[in-house]
Amino acid sequence: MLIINGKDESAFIGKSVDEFACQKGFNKEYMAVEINGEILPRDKFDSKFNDGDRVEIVCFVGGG
Amino acid sequence: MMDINDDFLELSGHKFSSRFILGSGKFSLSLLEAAIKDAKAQIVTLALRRVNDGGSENILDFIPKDITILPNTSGARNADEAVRIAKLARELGCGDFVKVECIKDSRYLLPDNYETIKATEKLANLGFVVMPYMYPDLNVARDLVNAGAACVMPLGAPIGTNKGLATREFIKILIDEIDLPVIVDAGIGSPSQACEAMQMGCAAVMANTAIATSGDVRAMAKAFALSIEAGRLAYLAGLGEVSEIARASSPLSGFLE
Amino acid sequence: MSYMEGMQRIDESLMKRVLSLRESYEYKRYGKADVARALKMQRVDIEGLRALLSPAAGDFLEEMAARAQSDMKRYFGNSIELFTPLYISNFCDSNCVYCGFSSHNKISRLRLKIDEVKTELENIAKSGLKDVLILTGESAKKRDLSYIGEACKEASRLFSNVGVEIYPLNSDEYTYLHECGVDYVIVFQETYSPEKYAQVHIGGQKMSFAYRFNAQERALMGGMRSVGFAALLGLDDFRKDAFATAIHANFIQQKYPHAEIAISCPRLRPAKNKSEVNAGEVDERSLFQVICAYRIFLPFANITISTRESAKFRNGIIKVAASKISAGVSVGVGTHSDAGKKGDEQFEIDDTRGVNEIYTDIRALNLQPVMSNHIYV
Repeated sequence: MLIINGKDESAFIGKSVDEFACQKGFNKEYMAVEINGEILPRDKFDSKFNDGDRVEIVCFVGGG
Repeated sequence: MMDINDDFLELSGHKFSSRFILGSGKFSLSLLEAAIKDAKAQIVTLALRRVNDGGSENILDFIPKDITILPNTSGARNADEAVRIAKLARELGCGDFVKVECIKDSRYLLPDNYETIKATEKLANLGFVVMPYMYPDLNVARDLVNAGAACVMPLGAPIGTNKGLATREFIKILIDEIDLPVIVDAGIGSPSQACEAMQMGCAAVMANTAIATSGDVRAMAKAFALSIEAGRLAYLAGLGEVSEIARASSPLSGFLE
Repeated sequence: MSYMEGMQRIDESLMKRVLSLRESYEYKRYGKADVARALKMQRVDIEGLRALLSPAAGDFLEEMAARAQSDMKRYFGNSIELFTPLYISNFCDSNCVYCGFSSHNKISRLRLKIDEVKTELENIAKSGLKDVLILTGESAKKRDLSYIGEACKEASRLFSNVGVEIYPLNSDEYTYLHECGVDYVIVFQETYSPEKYAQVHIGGQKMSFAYRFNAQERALMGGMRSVGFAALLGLDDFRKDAFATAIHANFIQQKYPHAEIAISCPRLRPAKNKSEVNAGEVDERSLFQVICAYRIFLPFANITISTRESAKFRNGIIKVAASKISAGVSVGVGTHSDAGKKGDEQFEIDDTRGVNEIYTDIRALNLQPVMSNHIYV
């Protein structure tokens, strides 16, 4: 089981953050990634998701 | 004569000539760049959301490069969540500023001062420039100073209410007692209210809803900018008119030799 | 003069801030408009204080008094606290050119034995007083501290509130005295001008300006509840010294919000063999202005008025700005038990009323005399 942003994305187990962003059409420049509570540095976006990971991928939006 | 051109808002060594912090929520991205110019703002707040909730356009494309981004931790209910969000925000490469919001209560969106102090301490230790949104309590403000905050951001009224300085007396106390900038955040609904906050001695005003929900976002942004500058100038000039007090007798000092 | 051996050093940034603000205070720059503006401020800031201490404010004494009185009412209601000082020793190692106790002054020296201290305290307690301030000269021998501690233990058995006005200590020594029942510490800086300070303090440990300046902070670090400040008005430029006293007290209160702040307002008085020192420089009107300015700037502070001043002045000032007054005072040593046996006084007093008389006078002014306002914890 792989949870990304609250959704089951088990299809991406073994795939990298890069591949996930590319597939979903997200711009990597504007993303920040946290895996199991730890920040994933931008230069490590080639690392692979493991079974059991909980992932948050966020970007800026308008806010006060 | 105080020259307003030599007057800066200072946050942890960063200097700003503008004292208007603009919130970017609740209005269309296409207006944002123009509104920032009209507001003469140098600091703009943003929030973080999951990428699939963020829409396809990226907000950073609408913000000039010389603007300081102030990510908030909206969505955090406690200190640990605020720290997580702040770290994610910093990872986006827009500097070390963070506005701490720890909000447990979804009805009034009042800040949880206790969690806010904890988050401020942790984030200051991680090298962030921490701007905590807080309920104006002097003891808490002192704790925030000791925790390493760059300023304190007391609320004027509940978020989004446009009710102005409902907490006026308590904000005054913070201005008198706290050496850091006091920035009113939340509840400021009109330029005159922003002006009053500045006349009192607030270091800056943060506003979002009042501008986003006005009939003309750009015009209102400009109106706020002008009133904030006017209020600052009045504060620097020193308010107070001299009235001649009638003196019939000296009941309290008459005994003096 | 820097630190001597054994003196604890703490951060000096607060001192530097006070001294630089004192340095930059030019009171001739302030006019009537500045004074009027200050009096209208809801909370008077440092700039307002500067205006209120300026010569220009001398024309506003009645307005200042009205403002001071309303500030005092807000914080103290009608209550006036009573206390008495008890001198247990007038031995002194320091040489201060204006003081009757000065080590080079030929006076009758006396140090009460502990059982004599006890007798003195019992005699004072009979008057109904509940607040006593233990005083000594600036004699800082190691054995002195345990002697003072014993005296304070005796005092705390009979009194609800015990203070000390002795030579400055390190914070651990303040902790020891707090354990002996002491609740408040008063240290007069005398003058906040380092140059003048060096000219008039020419011998003994009192020569260290910085160590003395930081005494209140060390006392709070040591667990004391309340600290007192004063400049001896008339020793140097009294406006600058009053200004420095008020901001010193203010900054300490901001740094230690729980602390109770007290200010005394002594003017130079004649002392034995010191007739060349006179208090001509600070007249009553100026003293009144200073005390009103203290009250307006620090509305929450206890302001103490001593018997150096006349009964008439003291009655006038407790209606307006002073919240604490000494009663049944002797500034000699051992005089509460045996008028014949005494060490010479530190200075000459003016108001010689006894406790009952002062009590009655306070009531007659529609004020409420209070013997004790605190619980020692």
